Amino acid sequence: MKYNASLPDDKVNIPKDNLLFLALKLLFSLAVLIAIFYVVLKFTLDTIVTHLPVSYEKKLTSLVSFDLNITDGRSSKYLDEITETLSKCASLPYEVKTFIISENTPNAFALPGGIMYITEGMLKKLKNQNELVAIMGHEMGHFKNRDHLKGFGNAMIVSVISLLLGEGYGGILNASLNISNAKFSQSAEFESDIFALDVMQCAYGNVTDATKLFARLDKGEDWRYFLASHPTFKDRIDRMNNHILEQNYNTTDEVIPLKKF
Amino acid sequence: MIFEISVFLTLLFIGYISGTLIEKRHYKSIREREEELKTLPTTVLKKPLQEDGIKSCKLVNGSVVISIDYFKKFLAMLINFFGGNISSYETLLDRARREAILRLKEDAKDASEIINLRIETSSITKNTMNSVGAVEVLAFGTAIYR
Repeated sequence: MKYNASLPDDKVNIPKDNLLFLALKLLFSLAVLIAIFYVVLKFTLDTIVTHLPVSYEKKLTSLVSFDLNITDGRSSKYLDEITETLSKCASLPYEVKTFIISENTPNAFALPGGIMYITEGMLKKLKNQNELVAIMGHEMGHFKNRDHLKGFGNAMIVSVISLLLGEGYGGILNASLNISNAKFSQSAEFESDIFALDVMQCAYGNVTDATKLFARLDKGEDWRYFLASHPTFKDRIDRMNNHILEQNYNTTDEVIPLKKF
Repeated sequence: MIFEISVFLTLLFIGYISGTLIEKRHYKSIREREEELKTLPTTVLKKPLQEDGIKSCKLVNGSVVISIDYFKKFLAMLINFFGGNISSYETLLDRARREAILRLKEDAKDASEIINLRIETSSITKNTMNSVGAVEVLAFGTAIYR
């Protein structure tokens, strides 16, 4: 038998694919798949959420313990009064309860079940009652649009997708979903701002100083707002002012001074 | 989050560049050495090509461990999701196999032929994202001296 000395044929075992191109192609397909999955789930959840009966929501809320020291929250007669006045105009599906928590970061938030929190830090920033009303009206807007539930829905979708794909895809996936989340909550913020103006005009007959607090909080940090859940204060003030002009709301009344919380 | 993305992209980029460079260089060296050792008959036959005049024989082996780069691993994961042949691993294994045979031949440069060549593959670590992914290829056979 004669031995035929030959070299391995490179064409047989070495794939001809361009790996970079293949990676891009697959990444793109994956992105499209996730996007479809996300949109479908989000649409389903949002539909469920908007039609979820309030009694059911309360039941669900009682099952979830929030990572907040709720015992810290104290109620205040003054805030209760404002809540009541605003509620008459807001026609919310809930009875909203407002609490103050001792936290220095200025913030206010709406939790499922009609619970609204305002931090001490936020109260310290206020100069008059009108600003407080604007903030509370804004949070009520979240209740009205049920953004607090949609927020939970979004968080749920993101965790489901990350679970399905496994940890490997980690950062890049979460990041891209966070951006779309942020965009969602930015539009929710705008809607709530407008709602706050409507409620304020209805309950107090004027919207004087409704945008003042935002103007004071505005530090002009535009660059990070692409990823932020809240839009820039400047954008918000602009939109609110537009709405005030369109609806011809009263901005000339005297402001009401703050009472004791 | 921006930090996470940039770390991830940097790792992918480094993986792609270094992986491609190393692979190119490795293939160049493989082809040169294959050309050089082409004339040493190597078969998977149980018996030598010529059975007469054998003075001695010896067991020879060549083994190599090749690691995967971050980019190839990521691509493999992507393909894993959709299905299809994992081409990013195919070149890796091709290199490992040929390198192992070359090392075996280099172990027996003065032999008149090598028979009964066998190749075995094992993965050193199971391929999860956080551990080192590497493959070992061992080639062994009998070198015949006349």
